[in-house]
Amino acid sequence: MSLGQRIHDFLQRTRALMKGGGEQAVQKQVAQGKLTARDRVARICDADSFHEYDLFVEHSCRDFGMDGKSLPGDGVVAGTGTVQGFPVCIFAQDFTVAGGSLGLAHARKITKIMDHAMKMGVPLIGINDSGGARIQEGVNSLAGYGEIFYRNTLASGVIPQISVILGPCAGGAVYSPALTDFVFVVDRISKMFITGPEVIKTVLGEEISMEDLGGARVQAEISGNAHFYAASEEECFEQIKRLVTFIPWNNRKTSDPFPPRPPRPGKHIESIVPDDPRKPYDIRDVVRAVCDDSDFFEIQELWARNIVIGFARLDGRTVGVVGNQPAYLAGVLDVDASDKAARFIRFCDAFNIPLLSFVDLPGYLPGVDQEHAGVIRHGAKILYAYSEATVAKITVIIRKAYGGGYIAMCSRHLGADFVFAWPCAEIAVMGPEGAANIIFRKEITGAADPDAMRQEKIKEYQDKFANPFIAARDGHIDAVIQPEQTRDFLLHAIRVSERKTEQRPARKHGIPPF
Amino acid sequence: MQPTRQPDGDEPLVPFIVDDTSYETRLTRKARERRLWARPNHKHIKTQIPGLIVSVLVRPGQQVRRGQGVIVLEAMKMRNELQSPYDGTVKQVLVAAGQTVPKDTILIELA
Repeated sequence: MSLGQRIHDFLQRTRALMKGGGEQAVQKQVAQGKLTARDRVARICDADSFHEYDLFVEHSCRDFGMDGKSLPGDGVVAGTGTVQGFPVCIFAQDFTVAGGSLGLAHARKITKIMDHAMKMGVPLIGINDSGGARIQEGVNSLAGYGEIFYRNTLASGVIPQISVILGPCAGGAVYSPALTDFVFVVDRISKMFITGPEVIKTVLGEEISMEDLGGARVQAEISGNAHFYAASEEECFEQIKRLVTFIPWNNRKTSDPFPPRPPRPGKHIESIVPDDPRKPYDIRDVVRAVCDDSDFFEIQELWARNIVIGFARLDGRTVGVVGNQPAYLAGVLDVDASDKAARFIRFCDAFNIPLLSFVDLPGYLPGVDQEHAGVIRHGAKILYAYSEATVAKITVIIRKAYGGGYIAMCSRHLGADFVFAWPCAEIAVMGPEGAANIIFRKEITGAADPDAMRQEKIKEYQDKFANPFIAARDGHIDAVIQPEQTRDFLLHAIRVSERKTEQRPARKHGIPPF
Repeated sequence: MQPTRQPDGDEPLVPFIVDDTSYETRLTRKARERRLWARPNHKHIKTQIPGLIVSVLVRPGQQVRRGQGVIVLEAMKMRNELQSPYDGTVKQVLVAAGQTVPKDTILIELA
């Protein structure tokens, strides 16, 4: 055979494999409002940057009629490409091929590209769209999942791992995304659960739709399993492209700097925060008023809204923002908020992203449900994550900083490098009402007019403690600053801390209150 | 396809009390759906998981001893015998064999 004939033969084979599960299966996929695996990869990656590997991989299953049955690419597309110029390793399960079911060859294509991502030190993007285990392959299919989970864990904190759920992802399969750093879901397309509606109905008699059980909205708002929620695959891809610009390739690098930009003209920073500490405002307005180009890329926007997390830039450099959100639940810390913030803090610390915290909270959420849900151990996660972090830690106390909440929100005592407070900051064990009721209980109950006495004592406490100066007197905060000086102080702090190093005693690993 | 995303801040502001201070704020979906804790009534024998009542082993008025089987509930492919938590008398039987019951259903009330 001449080289020309061989090339012809090769192209014929390739064309056949590139059809995936065939025209009918592709039509079915498209009819569900879904793109095909290769289209998805092509749209996430920069034009013509995707290079596919392992196209000719085949399974070796001989049971249950699988002998001689060819599955193009074994149901998964894998390769490397660039996203916004950043190199990535990427794989996409192909639902048109045997429902994207995972057999050993399929899994080994995934683990191979994962190993590659680790060696190259580049982010991994995995697109999940699979009916689950390939049952014909028995334990080999389970082995495949296990080998993926193992690598997800080893890669954690070494390279950023992104999971995109664009179809079903059920049973054991959900644990790969769960082990990764960012999970993207799309309305009406993503479905994630351990046991599906049918099993739940047969075993427990509870009837629920797939959407209500584990649809995108549920994962983004109720369970907190997802980090980004989009209305369409297209919007989801835009979110992924934005995310990669904020994070470094791996844990030995820092995020690529951008040209520094001033915040856009918007709300005047002093007008954002109401004088009355009991009134709400949107903490994101404060973030936008101080960060470059007023560009705040929020993560887990719908879940545990009482805390806000996300990426922004200061002086062109990525920072991880954590802020109490007085607009929801008065900004309290609870089980979910602690979980949300702690995981994000650990991501930032692992990937050399400085932490910027905005504090305005009345403390931890009271309630039987919180106590019984373990607010003690969950709340401890945020203390652990902040204390453990050795990246630059900058804290701005905006208004209320009461009790355990004050300590938890990256206070000086947890190793903050810079703590600034606005003149309206109130750093105290609790709010004036609660404190007066305890300290002056005798005076209040013994007074001729208890209510008048209570108001008088609240006022007395307010005048004495509801300010930043006592904390400043004892050095717990570094500077009281005017709101409009905030950006200046933050830019300076970022510059000063650029070469920060902090050594910790050697240990195998700490034991966070998981 | 209409996205189901809600615009931010369309929930009403409500009073929210922490340490005697009433804050004005919005509730998250979870907080809106929060259920108040109720003291458990030890006279009630309830289901821990949903299932099918296979048989009722006691009648109203009957004396039962602690640990005595009162109901067989099939759940998670297992037949579970629910037992009386203490010595007492059956006041009411609220379910019958063949009935499918959700979690936290009161099955029997002891006197």
